[in-house]
Amino acid sequence: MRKLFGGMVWVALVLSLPAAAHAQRRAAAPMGGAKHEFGVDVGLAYVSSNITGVNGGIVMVTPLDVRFGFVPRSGKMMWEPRLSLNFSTVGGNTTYLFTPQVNMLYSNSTGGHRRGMYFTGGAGLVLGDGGAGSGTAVKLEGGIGWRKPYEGAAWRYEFGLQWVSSSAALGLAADYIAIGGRVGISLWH
Amino acid sequence: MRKVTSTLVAAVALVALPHIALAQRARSAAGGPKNEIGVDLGAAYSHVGSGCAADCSGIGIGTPVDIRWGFMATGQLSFEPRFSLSYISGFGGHDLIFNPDLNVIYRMKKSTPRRGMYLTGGLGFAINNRASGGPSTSATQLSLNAGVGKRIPMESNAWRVEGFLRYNFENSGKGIPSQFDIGARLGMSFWR
Repeated sequence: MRKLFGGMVWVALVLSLPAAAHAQRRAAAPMGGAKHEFGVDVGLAYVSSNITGVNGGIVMVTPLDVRFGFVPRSGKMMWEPRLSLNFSTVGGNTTYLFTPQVNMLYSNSTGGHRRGMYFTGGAGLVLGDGGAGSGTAVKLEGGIGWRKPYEGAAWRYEFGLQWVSSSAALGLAADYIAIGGRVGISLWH
Repeated sequence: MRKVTSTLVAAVALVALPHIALAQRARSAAGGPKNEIGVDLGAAYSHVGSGCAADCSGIGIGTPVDIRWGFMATGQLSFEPRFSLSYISGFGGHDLIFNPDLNVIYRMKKSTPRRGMYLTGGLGFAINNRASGGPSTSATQLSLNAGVGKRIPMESNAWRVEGFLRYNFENSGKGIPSQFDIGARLGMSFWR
C-alpha cells in the first residue's frame, strides 16, 4: 500500500511538472514580452477644410499609415511613431507627400498595452509637393482607442480629432480639421 | 483506506488536468498560423507606353504600398490577396481608387512558409471612379505582375524583400496608357 501511495505521489509530481513550468513561462512572458506593436489600419473621417470655397467631405483610406509602437517593459505610457510616404517622379513631374508623426499612448486598463482602452495624443508634420511648390504643415491629434485580442494579434479601434495647419502649397492636404476613426490590426514581435 | 485512496486518485486527476488541457492546446497550436500579414516600402521605375513622346518614365517610392494578407498553406503554393483603398467624397466631387490584387506564391524547395525564397505572380486591377462637379467616370486598368522574393526570419516575424515586374494594360477607351514597372518592395511579415 505504501508503495502504491508513493507511486501515486510520484505520478502526481511528474504530471504537475510541465504545467508548473508552463505557468512560470506564462508569467514571464508579459514582463519580457513583445518589444514592438506593428499595425496598419483603414481610416474613415469627416474632413472640414478651412480653405475658402471648399466644402467638407468624407475620406476613407487603407493602408492609412504604418504604426510601429515601442512597447515598454512597464508603465502605462507607450510611444508610437506613424509614417506614410508617397513619392513620384513619373512623367517629369515630381510629387510627394510625407507624413511622419509620433503618438503617445496612455493605457487606461489592466490589460496594459495588449488589450483594453487607451488614450492617445500625437504631433506630426505634413511635408509635400503636389507639383506647385513644396509646403509643410503641422499636425496635432488626440483620441481614444481600444485593443481587442484576436488570437495572437489584436483588433484596434481608435476615434479622435485631427488638426492640420495651413499651407497654400499643400492644397487639400493641409488646413483642415478631421473627426473620425481608424480600425486595424496590431501584431507584436 | 478506501477514502484515502480515492482522495489520492482525485488529487492525481486534478493535477493531471492542466497538463492534459495544455497538451491539447499545444497540439492545436502546432497547426500553425493561418495568415501572413504584412506591409512594405516599395520603390519602382516606371515607363509609360502607348505612344508617349516625352517625359515617359520616372521613379515612385511609397509606404505603405498595400496590405498583404496571405493564406498559409501546407503545400508549396499559397494565395496572397493584396489591396489598397482610397475614397474621398466632398470637396465638390469624389474620387475612389481601389487596387485589389491576387498573387500566387510558390515557395522554392528548400524554403518553408516562414523563410527562404519564393516566386510569385499575380493579377490585379486599378479601379478609379471620380467626379468633379459633373457626372462620375469610371476606369479600370488590368495589371499582371511577377517577382522573386525572400523571407528572412527576425525573431517571431520576418523581413520580406521582393523584386517585381508589373505590366499595366492600356485602357484606350478611357485614355489610360500602358505602363511597365520594375522595382522592389521591402517589408515585414507577421503571422497569426
